Amino acid sequence: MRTAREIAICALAAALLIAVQIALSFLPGVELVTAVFLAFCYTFGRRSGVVTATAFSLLRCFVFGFYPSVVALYLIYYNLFALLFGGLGERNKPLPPWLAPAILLLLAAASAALACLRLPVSILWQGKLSALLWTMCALFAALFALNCALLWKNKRKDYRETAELTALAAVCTVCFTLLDDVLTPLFYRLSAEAALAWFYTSFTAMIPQTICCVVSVSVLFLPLRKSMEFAAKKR
Amino acid sequence: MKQRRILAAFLLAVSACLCLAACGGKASGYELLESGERIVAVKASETNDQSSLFDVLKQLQEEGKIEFTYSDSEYGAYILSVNGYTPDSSKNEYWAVYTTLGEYKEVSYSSAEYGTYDYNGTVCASASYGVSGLPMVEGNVYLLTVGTY
Repeated sequence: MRTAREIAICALAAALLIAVQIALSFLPGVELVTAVFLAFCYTFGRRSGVVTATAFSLLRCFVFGFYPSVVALYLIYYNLFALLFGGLGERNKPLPPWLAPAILLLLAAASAALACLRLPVSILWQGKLSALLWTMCALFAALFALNCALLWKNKRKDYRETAELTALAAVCTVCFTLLDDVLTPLFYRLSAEAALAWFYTSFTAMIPQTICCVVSVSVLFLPLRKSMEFAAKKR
Repeated sequence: MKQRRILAAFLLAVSACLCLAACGGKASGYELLESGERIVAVKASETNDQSSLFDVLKQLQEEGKIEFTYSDSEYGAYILSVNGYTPDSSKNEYWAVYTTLGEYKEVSYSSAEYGTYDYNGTVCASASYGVSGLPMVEGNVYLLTVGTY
């Protein structure tokens, strides 16, 4: 840490993330932590991001409880998230133009493939899962088209940047659930069959979170970044 | 203006899909076998693929036969208390779900590997889903009882 100001900013960011998580905790699948933390890491860089991620992962336990698998999940995921988006924010070069469309196309195809397959989850959830997977596919396809249009028309740099970061944030949200699918069975020593059931059931959490992430990052990233840049410059 | 309308329509469509996905089914064809402070037993008298054990519990609550509280999550409802009893977390207690429903339409709904409960001679296995994920299938017994981990 270089200055007390930097520590204060990280503390405020961790508090803001916990407040945002508590405020929306009564709405299953709805979260704004990704959008807020992404804008923070992108503005303040890797070091502040990692400090905030660690503080947030540990301090949120006082509200949501100390569960070892969840603590490990948050510490690993949010620190990697901070390194990725903090690093991207510190980079002066833009991302390769093909990266975001390729990721979005892959996610849209994966969602469509899963929607066509009959996932072995409770019969009560199969219809909901299928509808949500098609929604996710449509969302990724729309983002893919938007990305291509922005690239083709060579639109404003910040719009392109938002579209690219939204694609990466969606991948990260999918990875969050996949990491949980590995950590939870390991912590609770689940059998292979139970771990597979956990994996399929986790789609019910992953899909709404990914949809929410795509909508919130694409809508909130620019205003959040502007306000955070304003805070960063103000002395 | 046109772009805003398209965005609003898109967000509305996403919200509608999520609302539809969140809707529960209507419970029918069940029998309350027992309702005590530490146990609730229900038997399905007909099959209803649209109705979960949670829908049945809600209906029983509306009829005044049981009382329960729950919290919602992405994985469905989590039972907090039943008939006034809240599990003692210092004793690692929780409301466990057991059922005789095994494999149904190629999906497994319980596993004896994680424990069984003998209810008046009927052996119920630990449920693989919570109350929101268990469909009501004719002839099967569903139990809520205080377990420990």
